[in-house]
Amino acid sequence: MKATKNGLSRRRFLQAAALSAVSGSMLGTTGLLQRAQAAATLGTKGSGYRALVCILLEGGADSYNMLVPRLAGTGNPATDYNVYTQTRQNMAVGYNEQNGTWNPGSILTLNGTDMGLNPDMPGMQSLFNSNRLAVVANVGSMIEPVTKSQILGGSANLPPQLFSHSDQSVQWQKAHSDSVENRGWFGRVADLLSSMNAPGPSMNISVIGNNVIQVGQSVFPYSIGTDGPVGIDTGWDPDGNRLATVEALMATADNIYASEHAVIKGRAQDNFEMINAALDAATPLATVFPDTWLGQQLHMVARMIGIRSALGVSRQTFVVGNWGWDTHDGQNANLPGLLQDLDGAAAAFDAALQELNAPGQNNVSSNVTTFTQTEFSRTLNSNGNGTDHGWGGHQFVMGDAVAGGQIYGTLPDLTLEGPDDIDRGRIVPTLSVEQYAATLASWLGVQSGDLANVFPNLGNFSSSDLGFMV
Amino acid sequence: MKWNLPTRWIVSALLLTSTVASAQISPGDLVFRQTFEARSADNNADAHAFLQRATFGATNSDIATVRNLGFSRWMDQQMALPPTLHQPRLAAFGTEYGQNERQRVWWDLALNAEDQLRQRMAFALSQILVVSDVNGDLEGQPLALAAYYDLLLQNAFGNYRDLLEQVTLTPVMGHYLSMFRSTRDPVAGIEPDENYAREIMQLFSIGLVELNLDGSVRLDGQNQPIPTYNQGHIVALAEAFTGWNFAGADGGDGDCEPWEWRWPEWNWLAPMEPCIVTRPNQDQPANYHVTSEKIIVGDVLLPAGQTAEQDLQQAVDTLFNHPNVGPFLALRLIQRFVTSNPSPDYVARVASTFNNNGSGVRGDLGAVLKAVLLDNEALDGYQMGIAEYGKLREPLLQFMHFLRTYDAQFNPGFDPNNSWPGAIYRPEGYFGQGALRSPSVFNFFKPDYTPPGAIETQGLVAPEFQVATETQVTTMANLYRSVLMQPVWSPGSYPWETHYRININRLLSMADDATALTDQVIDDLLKGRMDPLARQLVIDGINDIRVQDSDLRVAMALYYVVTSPQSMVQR
Repeated sequence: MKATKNGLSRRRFLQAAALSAVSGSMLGTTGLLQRAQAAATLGTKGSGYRALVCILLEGGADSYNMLVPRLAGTGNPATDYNVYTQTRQNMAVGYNEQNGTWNPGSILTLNGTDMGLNPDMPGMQSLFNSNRLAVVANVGSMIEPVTKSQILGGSANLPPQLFSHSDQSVQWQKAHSDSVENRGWFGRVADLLSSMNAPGPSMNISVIGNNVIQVGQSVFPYSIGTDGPVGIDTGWDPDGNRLATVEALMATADNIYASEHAVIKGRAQDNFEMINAALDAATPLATVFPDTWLGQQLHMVARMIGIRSALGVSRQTFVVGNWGWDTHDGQNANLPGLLQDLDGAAAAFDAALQELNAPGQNNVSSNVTTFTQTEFSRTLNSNGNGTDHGWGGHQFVMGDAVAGGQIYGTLPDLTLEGPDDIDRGRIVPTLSVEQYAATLASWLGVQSGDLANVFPNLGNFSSSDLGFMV
Repeated sequence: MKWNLPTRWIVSALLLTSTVASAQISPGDLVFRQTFEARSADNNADAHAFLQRATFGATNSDIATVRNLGFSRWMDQQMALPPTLHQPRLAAFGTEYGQNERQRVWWDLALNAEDQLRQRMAFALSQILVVSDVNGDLEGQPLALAAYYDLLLQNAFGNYRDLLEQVTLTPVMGHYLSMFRSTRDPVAGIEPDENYAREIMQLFSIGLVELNLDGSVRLDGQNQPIPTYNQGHIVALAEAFTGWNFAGADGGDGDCEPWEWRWPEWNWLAPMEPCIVTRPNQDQPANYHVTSEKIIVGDVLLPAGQTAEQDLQQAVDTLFNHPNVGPFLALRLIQRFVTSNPSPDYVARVASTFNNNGSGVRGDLGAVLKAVLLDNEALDGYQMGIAEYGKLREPLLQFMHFLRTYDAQFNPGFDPNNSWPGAIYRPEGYFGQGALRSPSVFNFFKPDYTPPGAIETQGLVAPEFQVATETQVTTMANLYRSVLMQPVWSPGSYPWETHYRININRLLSMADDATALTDQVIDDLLKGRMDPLARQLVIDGINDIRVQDSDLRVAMALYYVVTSPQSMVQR
């Protein structure tokens, strides 16, 4: 099969060309040298393995019903259950629809704080109380710190299209609200760190599909499914001739869209061959994950972390997530299921990491940090049976490397039309996405001198490390 | 022809970023051969390419009809056909139907309905006026979802003003974007739901920033984009959209009692109606509709005291008459039907038709669709050698095209109790998309999506790549392998993923001649538009299979061609 052989080499050439166009000289011996140099200069942060796992809660999760005041009458408008219920009315956790009263009794205790967790988050409560989960309060997309009076006075420098799903979601993923570039912060981090990995699949692996957060200048996301990577199955093919023909055909793309499709398909096949062998050889995880899309995505991430040595990777990012958090309608009916899904999947993922800890070795559970992000929180007040688009909200970070059991940042005043509310309980953030992300990026291994490049607006804010990582 | 810059510039209208306006681009060497009314297909390849845009797949008889009638008259004939509706087909299942059966009806009618152009337009509109059964409230309402699709079919060549109003008032949209039962109740601390007010503007009509006729972003004196609306306009429009409930929710007595306002289930098929309080009591607001004056987009005043119906009419009128709607809709329809990166002039021509169909009517969707499909750029883009002309085909459409080309028939012995055709029931698992199954109101493909890499580097967009992950492209190729090989392994059987079997008798008769077989398949699927090296690769691949394995030869010839890069794109 002459043509096939030619085609095969054409295809490899095409891929290599595409790769080198995007990843500079990271292929070949130069790349290996660079990799060794990079590893040497990274110092202590460069050794071993570290990964970040981002859970995207698409639609705008109501985090003010995740972290909830549980004490009535504290007198502090940020932590008083009475202020909370006065504002949230029938959306409040503990509201009794039958008699129109409120009772905080079901809210889960968080040791050492006046706040609690939604009753549907027992797994995350347990993680918090064992100091392995932290809450980062009132984070939102901003360009620079702003106040309510600046906003109402029209002098605030604000991100474009505040409260729009598509815009705010992308702003969170970029951690650079006013950038027109379609690049995300995992991508920019991977541009710096991916040379620590052996040649192979992208450092940035997505189980939720295409996204912005993992797109860098040289590193792009690579997608796998909840059952792992999918390869080209040509049926019975003992000599590999059929696959060779398919691959040769891919190299004949004669149009920009056809070529890109072939590049994706080729990348799928190459990575499949590498990853699937390692997955097949790995011991199956005993930890049972919830049979939900999010649960199965995190199961796949745990399996990928389990083959990190086989793939020769030192740094990775993963993106998982789900839809349905845009609870304009039926919030009281739908939020419990969403939270149970998140909580169950997060708890199972934690258990799987503990399972992956090998005796006498570096504990992988100390080297994987998982965090939530969502485009905005929601209005504190009700639209009848749901809530609308808000702004600042709370995020959750978990893992053995997290300085957990604490709430970082400032809890907002929950009074309607209070000092933190623009209108309807759209809360002005007090921490920026950049600060949240930079704390995580530093832990992953980005040097302090590089932070300003990864997060160009970070300097507008007071602190580049929120302290929630050990 | 350098269209990269202006293309980028159009797309930035959707990216909502500030870009510097570039000079007006002339059509360059565009050759205007004839007016489109007179255009005929010069050959089978042109007719085939046109039908791949306008239908769920070009059959030989369609090609003959188009060549006989010409493009425009074929469209006239198609538009005159009555809509083949989905709801009655679904209802005919008796009581044994759900969303799975709704998908079966959709596949059946996409493949077999005579009114192909209308079915295709409804599918495009369903990706603009998005609702989805992935939503918890709608999951249990298959009949209402089918009725929503029928509304798109019935209005496919009607007026966008009517469609916008009718869509707004469906209980399906009412639940999906929660205008249903939206109200203000100061006692209970309840504010009008902002969801529909926001998305009808951002996604269904005008978008986030002001546009020029050609889709480019209008800029202010500081070279900044001009937002079309602000948060105050959203709140006001949310107030205007209050007071709506299921039809007949008041029980027919003209007074909406509190329990009637909240009564969980009523009529999912009739348009929503205002539920009006005439005998107020202390457990409800004086009026479920907010009657204060509102200032909506364009600073249009809705006077105090208007009814829910009056506010809605004035609001829909205001949105419909906004100058953005033409270019907004033009770009979206061109991207669904023809090309990802239209020239600004092409967008302007379609938008002008939206603004005036030639008889002074604004919003004529039939005229707009003609402008989209019969434009010289649509018909001649390939021959003119415009590098960025065309698009990645929607994966589901690519599969439908294949099935229609080979006259696929559904398994007459299909047993729903013992069969689970995953590609029909969960199409997103194979194609990344499915009819009325978007993960969010933002559809499967955002108009400004561009995959990182060569396409982005050229300043182009490619919306369909949003779902083209490594997983999706291989899963779909494997679906082809499976549905093509199953009849080989198990003669007489139907592929379990689809229960559709194609007719390959014609190909079997030429299977011993690899070249003839390959050329026939390339003619069927691509009308010969395949790279010569690719053709030779397929011939070699077939010659690698024993001559006596004729069914395997046919299956692999089809597999190689339909999964080739040339088959993935439309141009």
